[in-house]
Amino acid sequence: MTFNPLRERGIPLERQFRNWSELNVAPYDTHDVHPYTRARVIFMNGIEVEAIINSHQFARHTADTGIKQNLAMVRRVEQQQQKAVNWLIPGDESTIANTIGYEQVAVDLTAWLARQEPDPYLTRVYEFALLEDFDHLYRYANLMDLMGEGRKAEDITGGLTEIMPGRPTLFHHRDPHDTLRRPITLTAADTQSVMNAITIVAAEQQTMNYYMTRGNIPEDPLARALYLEIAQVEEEHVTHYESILDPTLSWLTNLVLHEYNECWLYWSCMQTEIDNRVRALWELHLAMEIEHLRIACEMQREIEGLDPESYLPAQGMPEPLTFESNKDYLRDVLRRTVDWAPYDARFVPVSDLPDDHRFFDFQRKVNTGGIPSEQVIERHRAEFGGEYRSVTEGDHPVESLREHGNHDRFPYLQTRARQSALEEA
Amino acid sequence: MAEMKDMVNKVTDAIGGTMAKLGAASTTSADGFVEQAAIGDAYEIAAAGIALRRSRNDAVRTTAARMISDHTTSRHHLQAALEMNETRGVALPPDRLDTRRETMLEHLAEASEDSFDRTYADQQVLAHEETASLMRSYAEGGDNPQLRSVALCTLPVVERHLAHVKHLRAQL
Repeated sequence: MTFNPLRERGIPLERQFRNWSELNVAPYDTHDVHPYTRARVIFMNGIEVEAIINSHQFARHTADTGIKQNLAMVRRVEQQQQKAVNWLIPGDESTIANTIGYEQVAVDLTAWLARQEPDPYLTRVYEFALLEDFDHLYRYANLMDLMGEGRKAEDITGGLTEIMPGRPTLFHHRDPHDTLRRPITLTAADTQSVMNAITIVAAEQQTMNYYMTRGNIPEDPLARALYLEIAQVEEEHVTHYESILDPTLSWLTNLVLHEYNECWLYWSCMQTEIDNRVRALWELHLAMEIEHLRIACEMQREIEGLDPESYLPAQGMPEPLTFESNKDYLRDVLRRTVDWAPYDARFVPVSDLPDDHRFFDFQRKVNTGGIPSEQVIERHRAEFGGEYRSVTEGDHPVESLREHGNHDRFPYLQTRARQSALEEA
Repeated sequence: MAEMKDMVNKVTDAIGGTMAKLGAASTTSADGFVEQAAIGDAYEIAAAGIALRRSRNDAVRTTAARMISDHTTSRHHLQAALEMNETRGVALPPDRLDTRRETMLEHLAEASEDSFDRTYADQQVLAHEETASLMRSYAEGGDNPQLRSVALCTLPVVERHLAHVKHLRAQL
């Protein structure tokens, strides 16, 4: 199954604008929607937001009135697409319930990308952050109980994604220098790697923006604190992922790649959607994006004299991006990489960091005075007599992260204990 | 006697550095780039370690600390690049310095107390001129896109280092 948007015909741009009632779509039923339909809605909203922001940035960096006109025209349509997608989310889906959906997207999207990624270094980049989003899901799921939501996190995830600790959130806070990775090059990287990178940047950026703006909605001080703590990690994730993008591309090449990526993703959603009404929206937007891509390609041919077919894959994209359960893979990643720590662009076992590494200093700065991601678990234990976990495949694969495991044996804690001993000495 | 030895060592370093800069300016093969970039980082980190142990000048010590941090970063970026498919088939970097850089470190270690800071600054200018030349030539004409990217990302940092150590030398 392959898809080449360059060989398809889209809807002419002048016919793409919709009226208000067409955009104000009926939302899905939060109690009945399939978890991966919700995931696709959250995900494609993020993709559209990135398309809009990228177009605005391009417009601010060009003096060419013709380019600005084309960008403004297409961007207005992208804004309509974003509304039609994001307005599928119902008003009675609370912020915390929607947050569980966001983290399920982060987990199962990143896991799929890591599994499909042809480059071994980039696979490590995805696997590293995967375990952090996996842990956020667990922290928010415990918060959801405390907020009296009336349903469990597993009702949102549908049991398709396990909920248990990943690399604990308190250890995600690191010196910003250690969030920068090695960029790919469009010339030499596999197209799958290029598409994966654009996709994950958009998704993480949306999560970052969501927590930046919605994290102050709850009244409970602990809920507000947890949102702000995890929002800071999402800033790390956006930095982490955007640093793998090729920084040498022209604005037009970047635009073409964004439009190509949107085509691939709407086609993917169309292939995998089980809700007929939502699938019709994916199909409509795909037809629009094919035209956006054609316009971007035409601009690049005319302005830069470069044919995008020279760098886009001749055969198109081989597989649709798929939201699916990744339980076994996640357990494998937990076993292999839970003790990883970044040192500049590389990943090393945390025990290999030098004793005076900046990570430890940063940890001391931000984690002094109470850590919300730990407090939420402690409060859940106090109020419910234990933690909230949703585990379907047996014990946690890392003994020290089991609810009644020997937590002191967790590698990060052992390294911190070594640090404390050194300081005392 | 010590002054004479310092002078001979300085001339030796300068001749080696000038020849090396010429060689660096024509490096376009991936294996050659990786070897020279890795040795350059290793030399910088080792020289800065000596400077932190020996110098009492705050400006020199601050420079040395910056060199350790920045050249550790560039070392890690090179290592990360070598983990990618884009560099498949490129030889891994050597695990030790070449004779010229070892000799430079010996000269630094042997420098008299009075001339240490000046020797470190002189070597830093030579070494950064060589590294800037290597990064510039490979970024423009190197045969591997990922390593060209490494050179392109590293060059501005090295150029700022070069301006900084020239300023440092002028102040000593």
